Amino acid sequence: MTARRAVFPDAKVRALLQRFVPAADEVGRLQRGKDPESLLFQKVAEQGHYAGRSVPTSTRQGLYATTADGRMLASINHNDPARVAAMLEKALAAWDALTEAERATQAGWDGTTDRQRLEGRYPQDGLVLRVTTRDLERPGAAGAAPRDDWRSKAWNLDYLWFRSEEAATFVPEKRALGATRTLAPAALDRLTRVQLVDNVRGQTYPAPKESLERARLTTTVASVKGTRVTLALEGEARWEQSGSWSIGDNGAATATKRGFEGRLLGSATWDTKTNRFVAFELLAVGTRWGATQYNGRHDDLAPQPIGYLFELASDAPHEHVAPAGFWEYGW
Amino acid sequence: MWWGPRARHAPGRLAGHVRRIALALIVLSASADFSRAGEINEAQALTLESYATLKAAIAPSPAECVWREIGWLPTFGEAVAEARRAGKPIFLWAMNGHPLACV
Repeated sequence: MTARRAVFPDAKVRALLQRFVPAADEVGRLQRGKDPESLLFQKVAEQGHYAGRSVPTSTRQGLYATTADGRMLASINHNDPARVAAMLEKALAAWDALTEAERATQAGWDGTTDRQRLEGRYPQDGLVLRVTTRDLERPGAAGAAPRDDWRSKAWNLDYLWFRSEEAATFVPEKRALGATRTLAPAALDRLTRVQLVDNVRGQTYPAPKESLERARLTTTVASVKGTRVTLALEGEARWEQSGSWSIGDNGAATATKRGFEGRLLGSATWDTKTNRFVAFELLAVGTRWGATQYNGRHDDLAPQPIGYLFELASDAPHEHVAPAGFWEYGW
Repeated sequence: MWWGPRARHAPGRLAGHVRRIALALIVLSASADFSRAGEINEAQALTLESYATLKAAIAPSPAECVWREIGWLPTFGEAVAEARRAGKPIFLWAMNGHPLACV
């Protein structure tokens, strides 16, 4: 999160990045996988800032500049934009020192063969929603992070995918004013216990199926104009999980619980000619409580307000990232 | 728009016809059991009237989205393919949790 705020808005960093092909990726799979993409990353990483390291952790998180065939140019794991800019300058100097043949090499993996990516299941003709999550203003100061603490400004992103046939289940079969439909259980399950989890300050995992106590999304035809059917969306959800797990980075498991309860409200427009949503906006607002190991809530367990904004994602490549809860989809 | 050409930015307030339908649905669902809703912060209750304010409170500001304007490719492999095609070096931002989404 810090890099989003500090590093990539920096003008010098952005100018230097224009000479690169910029990419972002999840490091856990890359540093453990045995597929060509992961093996190439491991080749790069083992020339970099954490090469060979296993203590205190084996992470290979960081910023890497490399040739396409895995020749290290420079690397760093830092959120100081000045140091990142220096790393980029070092990388470009190393790149410029290569021969033309070395820069133009087509050796090694081509970037496409034998790819094993969830992004390959992106529902091109379906419904892709960008989900923004943020704490809402809370009454009193209990549990609130100080204003100069990053946690007071924290927000996170995720994506929510529905295949074409799943997206259609949002739309009343009768496209007449006032016609209603209740979202089917599978899609509702994904919208609620998988997505309405507290990732504001850090990653968490979907709530288990049995934790979902109540969930409903009703869609109602609000207008029909040509091929465009506008829907009002309204609903509610509550889930609560009880058990024993760690709620701090290095803490032991403890008896605890977490949950969410709130309302959903929004609107969407379905095009009957293309059978796709051309507009979609949904708010989920309510209360969250509890924590998981890495979501930064170990000192903020009490019920507090939280909000989710679901919006239609763009077609841009950077919005083709697989959802964090994808493994709950059953695809 | 920083999200790209396809995204639609609906008005902050729900359109009139949508509001009428949504209000009817909220009234009909008022009997829902919120007996444990003591945990709900009534000051942040989602209503038609509070919708725009709450949306503005959640949505990232343009300043918070500047980092997304860099033209990121979402996977290392796509960067390898593009770098081979374009004859450029790769810059890879690798984190636990995808840097372009849930971190």
